[in-house]
Amino acid sequence: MVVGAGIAGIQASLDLAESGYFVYLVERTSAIGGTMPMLDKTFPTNDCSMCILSPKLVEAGRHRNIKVITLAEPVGISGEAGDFKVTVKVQPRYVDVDKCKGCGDCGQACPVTAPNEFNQGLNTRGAVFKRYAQAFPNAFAVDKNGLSPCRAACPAGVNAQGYVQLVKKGEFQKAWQLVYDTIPFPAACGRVCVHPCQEACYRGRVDEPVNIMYLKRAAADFAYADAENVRLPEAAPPRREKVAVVGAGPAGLAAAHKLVLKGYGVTVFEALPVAGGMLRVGIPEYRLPKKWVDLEVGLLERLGVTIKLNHKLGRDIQLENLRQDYDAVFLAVGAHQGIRLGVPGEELPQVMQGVDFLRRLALAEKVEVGQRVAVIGGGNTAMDCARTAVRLGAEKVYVVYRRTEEEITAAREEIREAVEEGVEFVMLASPAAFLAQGGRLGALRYVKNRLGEPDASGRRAPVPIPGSETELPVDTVLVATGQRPDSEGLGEVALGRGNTIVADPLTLATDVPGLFAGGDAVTGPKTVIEAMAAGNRAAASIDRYLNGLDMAQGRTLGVPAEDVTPPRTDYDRVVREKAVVPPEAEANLRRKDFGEVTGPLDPALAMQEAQRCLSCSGCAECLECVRACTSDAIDHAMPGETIELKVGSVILAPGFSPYDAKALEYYGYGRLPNVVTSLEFERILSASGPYAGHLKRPGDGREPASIAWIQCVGSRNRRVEHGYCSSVCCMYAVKEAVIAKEHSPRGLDATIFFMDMRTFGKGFEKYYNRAREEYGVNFVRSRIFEVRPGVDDPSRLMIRYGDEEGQVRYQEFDMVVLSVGLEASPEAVRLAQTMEVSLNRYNFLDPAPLSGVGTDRPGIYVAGAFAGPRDIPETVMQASAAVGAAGSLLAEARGSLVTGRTFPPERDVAGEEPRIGVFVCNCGINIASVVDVPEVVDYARGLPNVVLSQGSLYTCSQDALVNMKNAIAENNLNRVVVASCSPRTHRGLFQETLREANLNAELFEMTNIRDQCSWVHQAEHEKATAKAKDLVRMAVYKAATRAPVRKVSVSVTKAALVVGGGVAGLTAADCLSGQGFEVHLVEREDRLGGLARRLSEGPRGEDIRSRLRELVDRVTADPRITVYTGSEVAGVSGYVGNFVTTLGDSRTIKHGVTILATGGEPYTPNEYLYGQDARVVTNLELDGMMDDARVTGARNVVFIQCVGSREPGRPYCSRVCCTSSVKKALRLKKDDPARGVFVLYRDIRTYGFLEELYEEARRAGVIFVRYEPEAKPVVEKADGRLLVTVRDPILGQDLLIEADLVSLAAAIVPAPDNARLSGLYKVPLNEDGFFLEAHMKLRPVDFASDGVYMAGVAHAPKNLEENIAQGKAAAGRAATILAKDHLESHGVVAVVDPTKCAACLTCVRLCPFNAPRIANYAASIEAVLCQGCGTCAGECPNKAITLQSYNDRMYVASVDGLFEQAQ
Amino acid sequence: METILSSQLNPGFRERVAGLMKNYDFSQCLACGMCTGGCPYSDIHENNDPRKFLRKINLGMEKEVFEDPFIWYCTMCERCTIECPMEVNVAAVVRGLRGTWDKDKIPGYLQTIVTEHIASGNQMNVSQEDYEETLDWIQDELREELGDPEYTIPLNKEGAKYFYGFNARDVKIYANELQTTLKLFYAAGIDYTISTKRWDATNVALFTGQNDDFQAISVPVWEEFTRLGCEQFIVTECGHAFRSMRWGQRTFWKGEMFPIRHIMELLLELVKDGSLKLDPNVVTEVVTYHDPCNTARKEGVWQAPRELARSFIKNFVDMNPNGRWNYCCGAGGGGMAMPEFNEKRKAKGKRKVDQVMATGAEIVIVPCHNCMDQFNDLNKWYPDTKGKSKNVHMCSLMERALILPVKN
Repeated sequence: MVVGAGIAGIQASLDLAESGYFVYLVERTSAIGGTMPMLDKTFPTNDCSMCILSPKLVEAGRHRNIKVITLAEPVGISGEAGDFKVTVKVQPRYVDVDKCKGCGDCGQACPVTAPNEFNQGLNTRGAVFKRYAQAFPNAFAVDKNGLSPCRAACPAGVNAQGYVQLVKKGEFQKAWQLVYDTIPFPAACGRVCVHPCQEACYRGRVDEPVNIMYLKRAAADFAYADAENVRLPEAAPPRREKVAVVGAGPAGLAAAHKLVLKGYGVTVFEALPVAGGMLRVGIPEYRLPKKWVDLEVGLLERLGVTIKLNHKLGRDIQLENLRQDYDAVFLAVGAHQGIRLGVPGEELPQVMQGVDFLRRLALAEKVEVGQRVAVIGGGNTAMDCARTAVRLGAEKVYVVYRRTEEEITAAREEIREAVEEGVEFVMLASPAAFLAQGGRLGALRYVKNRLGEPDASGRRAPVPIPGSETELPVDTVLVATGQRPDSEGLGEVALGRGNTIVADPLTLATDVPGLFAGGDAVTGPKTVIEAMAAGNRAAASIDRYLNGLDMAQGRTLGVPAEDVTPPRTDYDRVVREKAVVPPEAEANLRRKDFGEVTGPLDPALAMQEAQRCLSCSGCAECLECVRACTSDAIDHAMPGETIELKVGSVILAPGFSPYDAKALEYYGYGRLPNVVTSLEFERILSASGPYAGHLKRPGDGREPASIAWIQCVGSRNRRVEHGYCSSVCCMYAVKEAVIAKEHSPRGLDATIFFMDMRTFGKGFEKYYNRAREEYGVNFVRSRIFEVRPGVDDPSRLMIRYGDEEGQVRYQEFDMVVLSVGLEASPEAVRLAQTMEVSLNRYNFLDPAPLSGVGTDRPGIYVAGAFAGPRDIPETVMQASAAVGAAGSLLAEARGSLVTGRTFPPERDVAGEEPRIGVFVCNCGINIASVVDVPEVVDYARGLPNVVLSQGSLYTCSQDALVNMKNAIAENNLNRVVVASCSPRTHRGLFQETLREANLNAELFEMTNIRDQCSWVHQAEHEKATAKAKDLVRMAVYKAATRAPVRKVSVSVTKAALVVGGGVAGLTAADCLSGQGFEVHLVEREDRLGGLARRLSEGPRGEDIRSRLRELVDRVTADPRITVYTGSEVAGVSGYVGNFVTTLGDSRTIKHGVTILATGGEPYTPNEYLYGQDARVVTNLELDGMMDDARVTGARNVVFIQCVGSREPGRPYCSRVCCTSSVKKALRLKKDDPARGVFVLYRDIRTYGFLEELYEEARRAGVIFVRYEPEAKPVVEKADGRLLVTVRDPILGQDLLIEADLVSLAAAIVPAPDNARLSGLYKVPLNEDGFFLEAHMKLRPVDFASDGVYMAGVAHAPKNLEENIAQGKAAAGRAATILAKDHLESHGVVAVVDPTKCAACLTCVRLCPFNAPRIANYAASIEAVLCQGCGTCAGECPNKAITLQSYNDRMYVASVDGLFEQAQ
Repeated sequence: METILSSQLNPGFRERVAGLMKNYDFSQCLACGMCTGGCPYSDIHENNDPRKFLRKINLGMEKEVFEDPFIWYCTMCERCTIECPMEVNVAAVVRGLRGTWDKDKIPGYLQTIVTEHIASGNQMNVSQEDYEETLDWIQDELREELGDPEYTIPLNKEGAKYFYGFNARDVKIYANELQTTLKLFYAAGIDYTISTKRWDATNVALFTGQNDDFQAISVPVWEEFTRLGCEQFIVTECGHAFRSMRWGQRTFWKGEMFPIRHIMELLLELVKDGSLKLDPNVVTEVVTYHDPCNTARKEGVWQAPRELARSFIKNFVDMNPNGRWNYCCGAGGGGMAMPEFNEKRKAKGKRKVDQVMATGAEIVIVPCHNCMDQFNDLNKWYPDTKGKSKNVHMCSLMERALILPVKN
């Protein structure tokens, strides 16, 4: 199992699968690729990162023996090395990968905008998305993240985020439908709901909540503009059971709505002459016009609900009868009876119950109020009464409430609107008596209160103040202090407090079977939405009851907190924006009539307001994607799963996280928009990034004229517990600066602020030099203190820093890039915990010493940045090394689980007339919506040699492929043309189908009418169709000339030759033998061990001598390894799989692969008095004399770095010397703290965790003095004293050291034998004399010629740990050849016509793969070596070479085809 | 420049300097220059670059280090190393080195103040009689002002919730300031006490680095607090008093730890819970706030003063930078008591002058007595610019807006 599908995981999987193992590649995200696809260019070659990775993605994705499991994470492991059982939790993708064609229709339809994490949040994506264009699997995934807070807060669970998102897209009708799926009163609820959704809305944490309620109203207003034609939901097939609902209020009708849709017969009995309950008779017209209630009641009737008005329980109908006549009864009689105050004078006719008053008005009865009205109570009913009284013409309206503003229960906006309309509030007042005057009400006597202790409701209780009675002259009183249900006709039904019906709170079942109750009748007066929620709950219970199911099982009241999407942390990036408020009638005007106070929200404004939704939960479940998908691939109910996999070994490659630069507030990241991270900058530069490769500032889109890079952001920083160096940032910053300069035609000032320039990798130093000298990138050695807004233009960025001379400088830039370091991701840490492997103090999985890839649990290996910050080549190398290590462990099981693919024998089509089948793809609507596919199909039918032409929805779908196979057989086709998408992703698939149909794969031709027609000519359907015809015609003409290509197969000698018996060679030999292969190890010297013999202690204190002895002993004793010491390679013949190497003593070795591990040599200095004064030694020499009196007695020791490295003629960094010197300096200082130890350096390059060593040395008192190459230290002899002078750059003073010992960090130079071996094995060297790999990034141990690999210093200078890793990597790579019995040529290879060949050697010289050789005065091309690149064919002066399947004839035919029509 | 000779370097020197501090915190220095860029004054006058100074120590240049005027120039404001990636604290190194000084040779009259403080129990050498008379006088004034003949200053009240420690200047020179503070306490109706024995919370040994003096001054104050059995120690606005109490307690106090809070934290709490009512319409001028380094950067109190200021000041503007990134006024580290460096202090103060001018403030709240003296000097030195804004304590400004509770 390989965990993590970045480049490390992909490489490991491919190597394993190619060496005979079945691989599970487990990836946490929805696509493989990791970080590499996010990068723009790669250093030091400036290759496009995506371009070089893409073939590997396809290869890993399509490999028969790699099973990619995405959205998955291991959660447990048991067993031991060779026999593990890993439990893997797989999150649902909600998209069927087999059905999804990656067409993107769903993404287009999705209204959600979520931050695009792949683009580092610089732009947005839908909730259904593909990580990036080239992603594998080429399938979308839905991003669901719990329940949005609005939806969770709604008692009825209305999908608020869903309809808000639909409104955002202008899909008002669909938004209404989504609301209507849950509740039958969208229009009413959009006006009077108490909207708990808005209280919960996370947007409220940024500025103001989204105005969700009004958006619901906007949707309903839109839908009801044409109410006749609204699309009602489909009801289930009718059922025979009947349900009676008593009460046509929101609770009763919500239940009726749900039940009728389930197919039940529903009859609603209503006591009043109108339906709608409190919605209809409780809420005044100016808040909720009756026409909307009537309309929505009407919709229910259209759905089939029968409503019987004027049927009062106990009067017109009896409960007993209902129970007999119906299978279930739902009591939802509401709470319509006002509660009397019990105060003297209440019987006066001018003292009315508020609810009665409102109801009578609603039923169009004549109701009058006087001039001075007092409303008693502080709830919404009280506000309704007061504001209605105002409208009825009262001059003075008072609301008399017994507590204060704090405790009042009416909605804030109600109170505000009431005040605007002139209502006055008398707080802390309780009515004591209603006083009559001339038989009519004359005044209200009230007593003043103060607030006491909190009562049962949690509010402070009013306590009357004695003697505070006051009289308020009034002529009408409306009592609105509460309501209770009417219990008439309930018979034996149990009643609770305040006449409420007792029902189970969860199921709403009463004690009587089949009798349910809900709404205000059960809870007392509550809100409309709670009543509807109760109706829905009752309907669900009734459905279960009628189906004989448990009513409670699996149900909860409310949403558990853990199911709610947690708030995000990056709200500070949201642009502040006020909520859109609907228009409101002016108070002076509105108090005159009952016209609706709140006006409709303009659709454009509604869409604008919906934009403010933060899409908290990602997917809004609005189901737009389901509607858009033509291949039925999306399933929002897809479950997750937990699987158990048996594996022999686990390779951990979870990668890293970029450091969160927000933690360092002084750099302004997250606060200043033009400060970006390096990863953001990669996306900005990338052609596939958010700005399509245009260099722009995120803040304002302006092109920057100056950019500063700040190094070590989150690296080399003890304060944030990142004491290590992230290894890659120096190089990527230099690269970004170079590429940015290339992007800026008008010139760019690029400045990099750094401490030590750590360009220690192969080819890096030269890149750095070029950046400085050719590109003019500025390098400033300073760790800057802070980034501040510019002085005149705050969008610019000001940096104040101390320069190299100690001067304080101010400099402004247009943009700042923070070179963020690498840290262990929380997921990786979790993974390590699951796997029970130990991490270092920084939470990285630092490999076991001198193992390269080992963890502290046998059978589990690590590769990539999780093993410590590292660049891509080292990551790839380590991946192959882990494969080598795992291969040694699992050698016996090799080949036991993998499957090969066998195809039926190919039909010989030679001599047959071409019979061409054309298959044109619709690609869902991707092609068909622009190109007229049937027309193209018809057209193709008329082309020469075409015997069949067909269209299909998705030509790549399983059924279409079966159809193609059958069509080939039925029509005896011998050529196939597919007109669809990109051959890059799909050619292999179709070629396999041809093979299954007995045809050679090269009889296939493909043309891309999606990218080249429908995508680029979206608006020009006719031209796109015409172009598709042209392309198809060209393909048909070309196909007719296609011929089969036979693959060549050779056998493999299962033995390896390793040249070089140093640590790298020994490790490679050991690892190959461990994998069960025979090894020949050739060493020039008489002893094995190489340069490591001269080393004593590794950087982490490893005992090198004993470890080396163990390794040498093991290799020497290994029966599978033959050691040839004192031998040199003298001659080589053959090629991959079948080499024959001759040694100097004429012995011959047959081997299938070759590993060159020839090591390097120390440079012999001629500077700094080396060789002239015995006190001047090299570091290597010092290693051997640490116990010598010359060392132990030294008072002052000076190390001089970069002796022979980073110099003209040897312009590379020798990589190991800084660590070596620091380590020795530390030891010398510790041995004698009174001794002066000085390290004179140019840049200290203790990369990765080696940085700790550097810090320790400083703490111990080692003095580091930097020098410039222009002012090198001077070593002189005076009166027998050895004097070293160097300028201290900080104090600007010379430092004169009287040294007892000077140790030179001499360069590493390539082995002298390299040039000869390069000729023998025909593999190249770089300018510095080290071997040159096939690709600097992705093939770090391969040569371009198959079967030859390199390891160790032969490749470039590296430390022992890295040598070991590369030795294992070479062994891992070599096993991919040795594991096979036969090697097959690539299908398409070049062939030579010997009659035309003049043996001019052009091809031999040009071929990077060494495929052509001269034999019998003509070239011949070794098919197994040929990679089909075509270079030789192109360059052959006599056209003797042709590349199969790419010959002139085919292209001439294709061009002929193009112009055929035109003539 | 002179050549540094390895024979003159003392490889054990940094070890010795490290020994002056509890935490070995500077030798891992990367010499990266972040401090040079962070110090507001590294470019104001010579011998002011923290990186160079540390470099000398790390090289072992013992003689040059002790001769380096940086030791006394440094305002110990800690801005340079606030985010030092190697967690170096230059101010701590400076204080450590100052502590090695021969007490007779300490510049200015720093040591005089310390010695008098140890002798008299307060840094202004106020006699017990004068102190008690001043308190009496304040009490009389307040009785009149408050119209409350019963008003008494709660002295030596055992078990009071708050113990109030202040600055001797509040008694000797600015008694009206103490009166203002006590008026606020009265208005809020809090339970506090003032000791007649130990009441000066300042400690100039914070700047001289002499730890024996430091303890001789501050330990008796903490003992007095403990004796009275109060809950919280409230320190006056003065930044160095606050820092002395807090840092000193962490470093030297052997008794039971108790909360030490800045007066503005308490006042904010009182405004928030409604105990203290301020009229938001009184202070209409443009006002800014100066963060004393000791209060803000070193002890983390910079949000409360702003919240407090915004609660009653209509036009509050912040300086840039501010809070934990503020610039020192230029007189930190005991600068006011070293008149021989006045020219340098003036030059440093210019940066603060520019900062205030950029806000357009008419009033600057300067909570610290030391900063206040510097600000007043800056008004004199730069009369055309800074001289136009008025420097006040927070409590004085609050008094202007104070709504006294109506008596029952």
